[in-house]
Amino acid sequence: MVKSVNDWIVASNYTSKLTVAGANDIELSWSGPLETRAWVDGFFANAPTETFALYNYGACDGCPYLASQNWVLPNGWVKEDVWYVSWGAWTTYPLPEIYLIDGKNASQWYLMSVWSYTNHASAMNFSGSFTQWQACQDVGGCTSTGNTPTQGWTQLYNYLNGDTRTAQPLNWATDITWQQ
Amino acid sequence: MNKMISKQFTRMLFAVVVAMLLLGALFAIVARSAPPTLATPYPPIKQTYEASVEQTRIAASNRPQPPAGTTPIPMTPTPASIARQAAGAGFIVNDFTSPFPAMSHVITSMWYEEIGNQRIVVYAGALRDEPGVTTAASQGVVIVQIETLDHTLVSGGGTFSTPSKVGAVTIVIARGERLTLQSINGTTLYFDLPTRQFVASP
Repeated sequence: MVKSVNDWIVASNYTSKLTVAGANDIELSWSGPLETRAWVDGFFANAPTETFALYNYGACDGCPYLASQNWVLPNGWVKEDVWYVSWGAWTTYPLPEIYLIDGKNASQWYLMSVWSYTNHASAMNFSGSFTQWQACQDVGGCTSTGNTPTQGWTQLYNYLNGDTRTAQPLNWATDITWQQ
Repeated sequence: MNKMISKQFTRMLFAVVVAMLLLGALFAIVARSAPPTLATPYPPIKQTYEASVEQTRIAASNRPQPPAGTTPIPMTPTPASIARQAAGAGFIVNDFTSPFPAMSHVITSMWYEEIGNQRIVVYAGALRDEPGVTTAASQGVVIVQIETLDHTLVSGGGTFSTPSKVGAVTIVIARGERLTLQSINGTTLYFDLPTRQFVASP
């Protein structure tokens, strides 16, 4: 689909105005690493001569966070897999869900970035933070998962920039809604 | 004379100290307000991509209008279909989006039926609220939601825990409104939707 949209942009002569990107809500609890890695590889293999960004806007559910670093990742995932589908493969970028008001999501992704720095000599550079505040408002509110875009961005920004290994501007914040 | 030189020296010293304090404060303010830079650069493939996107952004900013005579090619949307299979009085949906946060729930399957102007939706899976507990030993749950056909939740639902911690459960078949669930550790369970209870037989 992303390739189709890009082909349309090229055919319509909009290439100097528009870029197209794909995104996947990669959730560790919902799928295994083999299938997900294959999906990511297939995304890029489908358009070998074109370059798109692929954003992983999932949560790192089951990943360690600062207050509890002994979590076992679900479904056979290991950190290398999370790194690969979020940052390691071609032009993948993390745009992670930071919806938990207690900051656990941000802590988890910060630790993933530290892991990337330690094991691949490159911290994960995040495209932004991703919250679900408006979606929560659409259904009457959320109790623990309703970070506003500012709250989500601030949590991730503070974790990343509290450590010289993972410092970065974190240029964007985005949010999701049920409204069409 | 010496007293005068001493006074001048004291004044100069005071001025130098004040200037250093002001400079220090200025540096602190600049350091705080300056946006952080990347601790590690983008890998080469991403550097190329970032440069290309930036080029597009600048070009689009400089000339916001599309080239003269540009006509977008019409697109024909393809209608989406729901992958589902008949199961008892309803359907098991194979491709769905859980409404529950992945941080707190593992939802493996979904079943629904429509009665009149309402839809009864049953999600099955497990809770993820115990740090360090793996999916195989977590509290299995069945979550029942009643909603209107336009997805507005109404009362009558609830969350029902499996009698023991058998891990995440999956709806595999249904007979009428009695659902058969398989747990991740191999246990078979039966959930009777009308009474909202786990029962002994299918």
